[in-house]
Amino acid sequence: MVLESSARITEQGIADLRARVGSYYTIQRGDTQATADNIRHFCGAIGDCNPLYIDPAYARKTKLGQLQAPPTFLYSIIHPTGMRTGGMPGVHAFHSGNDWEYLRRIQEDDILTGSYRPISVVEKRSQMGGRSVIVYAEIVYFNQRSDVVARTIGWTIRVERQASQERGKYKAITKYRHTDEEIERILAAYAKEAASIRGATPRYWEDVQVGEELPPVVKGPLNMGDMIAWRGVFGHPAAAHGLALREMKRHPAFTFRDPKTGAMQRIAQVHEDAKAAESAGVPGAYDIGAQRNCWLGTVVTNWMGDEGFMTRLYAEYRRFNIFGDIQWGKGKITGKRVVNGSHLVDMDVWFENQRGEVTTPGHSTVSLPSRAGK
Amino acid sequence: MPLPTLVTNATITKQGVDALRRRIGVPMRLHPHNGQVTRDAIRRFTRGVGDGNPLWTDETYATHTHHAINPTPPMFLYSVVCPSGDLAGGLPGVHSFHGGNDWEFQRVPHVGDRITASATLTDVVEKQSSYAGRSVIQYVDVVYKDQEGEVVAKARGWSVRTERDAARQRGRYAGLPSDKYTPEKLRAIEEEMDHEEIQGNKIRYWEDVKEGDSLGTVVKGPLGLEDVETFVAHVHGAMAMGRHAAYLQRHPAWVYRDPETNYYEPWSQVNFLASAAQAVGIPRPYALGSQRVCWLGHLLTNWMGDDGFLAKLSVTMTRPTMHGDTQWCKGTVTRKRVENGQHLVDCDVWSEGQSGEATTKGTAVIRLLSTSVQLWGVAAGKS
Repeated sequence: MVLESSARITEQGIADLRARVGSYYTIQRGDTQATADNIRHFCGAIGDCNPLYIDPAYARKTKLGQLQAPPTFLYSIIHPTGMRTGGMPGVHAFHSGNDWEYLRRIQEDDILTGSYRPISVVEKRSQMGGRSVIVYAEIVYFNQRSDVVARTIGWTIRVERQASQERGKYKAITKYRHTDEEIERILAAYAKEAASIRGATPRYWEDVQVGEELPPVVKGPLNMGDMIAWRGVFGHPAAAHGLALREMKRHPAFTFRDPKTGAMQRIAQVHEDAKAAESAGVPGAYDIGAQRNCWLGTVVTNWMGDEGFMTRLYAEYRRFNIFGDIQWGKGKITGKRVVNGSHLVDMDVWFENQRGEVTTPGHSTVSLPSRAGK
Repeated sequence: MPLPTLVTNATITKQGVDALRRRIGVPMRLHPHNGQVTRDAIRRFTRGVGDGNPLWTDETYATHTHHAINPTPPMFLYSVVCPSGDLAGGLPGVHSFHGGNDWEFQRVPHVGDRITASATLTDVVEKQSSYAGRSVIQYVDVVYKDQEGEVVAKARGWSVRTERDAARQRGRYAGLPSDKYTPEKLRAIEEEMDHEEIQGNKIRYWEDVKEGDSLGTVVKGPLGLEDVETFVAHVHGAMAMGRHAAYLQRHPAWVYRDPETNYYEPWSQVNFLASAAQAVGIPRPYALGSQRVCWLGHLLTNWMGDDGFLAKLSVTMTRPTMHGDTQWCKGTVTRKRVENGQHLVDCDVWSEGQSGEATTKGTAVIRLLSTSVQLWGVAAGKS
């Protein structure tokens, strides 16, 4: 096996992790500003075609008057996951979910930063790897005026690699080959998705019906190009060559040796390298949880229109999304309410793959313009 | 929706070459990756190249140099627009290799600048190559300007267009060097990567340089998938999902069907997937030409120090560099001269692989400070 897999979850390991709870961490960051370049790169990397984010001339003509970043852009500032606390070397980490509360829009050229701290460590049995530990972290994002832009809880499940290999929960899964008919359907869905973006036509709260479905989005089949694009915007950026070597030597538990060349590689290569993924008990290179959250965000932002504001997005990254898999993003309105003058709509949003599995259950809340306030 | 019709293994025809020639001089539509020089963009660029020089990313350090603010590495312009012959497109279904670049730099952009680029196809030349037989070289000139409209740099890039089937059948690169390393060799490589010499704020005066001097070494390798991925992600960028789908509808000649998933992949996967690289006769995925020029830029800026200025750089690709290969970027001083009061150093630069063969060759001109310079009428140098 490519990755070291003998490490166990021990009482000592858990106690060490618990001792880290509550302290603020200085962690590696990605971008620091919502420049037009950074926003455009980000949208390219998540496949977001919304002109409010990528067309400055369009954005200037909207009520908002300037280019906006999608709410999920914050993943390019700091990666909000429980694994950034480290601890338990050699025990694998899967980012498993985020619960976001959004308070402000992100406008072009906003300077963004945030604070990071682990807040809880919980023991659990998992089907995949037996004994497991969940680490919760809280990340608060600020802009240049020290306004809180958003807050999120991110959680990561830690499992023993050997246990997950032995249990082989995902063994039966192989890289999916799409038929020509399936690919025709995918391409048609992409064209339809771009045309379904609500944009400048306000979606009024009064016009939304409970039970209404959101136009679907399609993400996939996941391939190397999607991962490259993501690596260019991710808030936990990789490095190459000597720079990478220096960083890897500081964190040897997060590295492995390439079986062919012997060169040091980051464990993060489970997202590109099938061999590394297999030794973590996953049948192929798999996506990064953060990506799936950003994709799910487009289901909501495509639908809500320029004047809508996503106040909450909750998503669990459950089933693995491996190279060749396709994710169909869907949504359904579950409720409407008025809170302190805000006209809110609640919805379930989720991804289903070509195997018919719900890979990413989630829900969201959007604040919409009201006809009463017109 | 009907599937796009792909052209993946076309031959070079007279009509194709004539059509390409008709594009000579016609202004091109470019899709710049970076337009603004920001700390974010510089940091991502240097991570992609693996260049740890504090001059580029350490704000405090930069305030103690004559730059006063972080400059970009000269090669940063690859992240605005890659000056490549295939910017001009043409010859659908015929492969394209980055052949090389000639750079002339006027000034170094720094944080706060905005850079735009314009490009024109200037020449199309037919040639026989030992790699793939009939081939076409297309030359593109790119001009980079700042927010004042002043020229920052000019670059000529050329691409070598070859038939994929012909290249695969000839199998010229079937016997490229192995990517197996002994533990000792690997340790030595890591040691070298860890002890890279950066001249930094110690001024390298023109008078201290001798013809025949070595420029030191920058080592890149063994090249892993993540090294290439990080470069492409941070220097050229990529499109995912719906944006990728829109691209393949517009450019069906630049995609192929992945044999495993049956879905569309851009031909740029030659840099990542063995199936794509082997389809063009290269045994393993290979590094980008732009990436390899950036590595030589890293060597030159390490050597010249914060006060040196890279005036010219010409690099030609001579052999492919594949995943698993290690590259030693090297150079020597060939000549010193004073021209129009500028103290210049001419250099040979190249990179060589683990079996010693040169994979790139080039020349550079560097301007250094002189100890004899007079400022305000007094000798301002050391002497």
